[in-house]
Amino acid sequence: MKSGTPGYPSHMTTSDLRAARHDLPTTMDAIEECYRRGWTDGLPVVPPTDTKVVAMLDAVGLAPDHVLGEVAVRRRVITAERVAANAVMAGCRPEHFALVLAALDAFLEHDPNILHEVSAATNAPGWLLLVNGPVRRAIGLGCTDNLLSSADRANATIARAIRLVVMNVLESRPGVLDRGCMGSLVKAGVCFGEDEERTPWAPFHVRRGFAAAESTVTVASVQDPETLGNRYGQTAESLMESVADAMATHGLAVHFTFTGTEWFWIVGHWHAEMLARQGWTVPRMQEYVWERAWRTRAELKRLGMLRGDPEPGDDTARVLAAPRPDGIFIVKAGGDSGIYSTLFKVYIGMPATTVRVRGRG
Amino acid sequence: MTPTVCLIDPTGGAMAARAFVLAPRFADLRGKSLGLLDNSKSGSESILRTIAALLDDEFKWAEIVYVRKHSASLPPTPEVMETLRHRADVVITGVGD
Repeated sequence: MKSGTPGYPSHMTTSDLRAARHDLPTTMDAIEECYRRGWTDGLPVVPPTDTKVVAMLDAVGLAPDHVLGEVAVRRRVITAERVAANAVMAGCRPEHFALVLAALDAFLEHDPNILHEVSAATNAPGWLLLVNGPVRRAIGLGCTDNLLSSADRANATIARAIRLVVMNVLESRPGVLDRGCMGSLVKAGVCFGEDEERTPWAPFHVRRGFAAAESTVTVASVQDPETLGNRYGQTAESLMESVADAMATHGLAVHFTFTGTEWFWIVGHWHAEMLARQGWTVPRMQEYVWERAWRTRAELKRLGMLRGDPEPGDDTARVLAAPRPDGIFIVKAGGDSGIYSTLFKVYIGMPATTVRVRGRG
Repeated sequence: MTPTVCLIDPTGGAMAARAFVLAPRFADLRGKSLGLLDNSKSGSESILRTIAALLDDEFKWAEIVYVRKHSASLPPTPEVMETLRHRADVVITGVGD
């Protein structure tokens, strides 16, 4: 890959970097300087030293001034060097960098201004990065136990790198251009892999048209998730009714009637086992949940989710939580210690978009 | 020699500024065509139309051109901007939620 990237220096050194530099006496001083300059998300960062930034760029063979995209609404250019500096700060290792770039590619290919929109939105969505393919194992990405917790370095730092890029390169800082009202846990970013080794269904990226041997990342803007605890139901129907019930409730948070709404049902191990044992395919599951996840227009008005007074017909008018069955994405992941699933609502902004991870299968 | 840690600045990267010229200002708004740019929030249309109606007493608008953005936090589409450019002399916009 290195030899094929235009502008990539054959022997990159720290003198090839273009951004401003700041010299500090010690690493501890550098960590405090990052705080002082407002570069952090509240947690300490790894100081983005020149040698670490070069190592990050070296891993993907990109020249420092390689332009990844322009965000017109913020009048900012995103270069490889600046993303590398933020990835270092997030705690990424060089082998994580291809995934950070792929996730940014997904945003930039969809609409560069979306990076601003997601951070500016007052309901404070965050982003979900779902990883498929061989890269998961290659970088030790968590796919099972505690996959949504801060547990594995790859999961935590890859997602954090995107947040720091938005904060620092686009200067969308909380309280200024980041207008989250209550904030959210997902604003820090959520990155995890599918448990492809134990899924009863085809992996998510294969269902999206990629080869099993390819590595992909799927990016979407999401609201904080909900844990689904159907532990005693003995049938797939019981489980899916509980998922539909959660969707119809969770959807109340914002924009129940938004026509682009999608969902990620992260199916835990024992839920997946029962669904597969009872013969359920992905399309049938999507259909079953889709037609059961709704509220009446009257309820939405009564609960303040729709404007206006009750009108004749509102009591029987169904408003679907998912506009279409195939917008309920089914992904198998999580540990086998308990009987749970997790539900994410994709919020207005970035619809689920899957891209290939360059140089990774 | 004092050992130093050299930090690479992770911020910024401004796009090249594009040259543009502001449209000429009007000395008198009476009889002009008024554009209303709705940011797509649910209260925006009623706020903008109320403002337009209040101002109409004073300025007697020749026409009110109402257009809507597809997203509150994204720029208007080129089609929306073209409509305003061709049909409106002045434009009122703002956040209405």
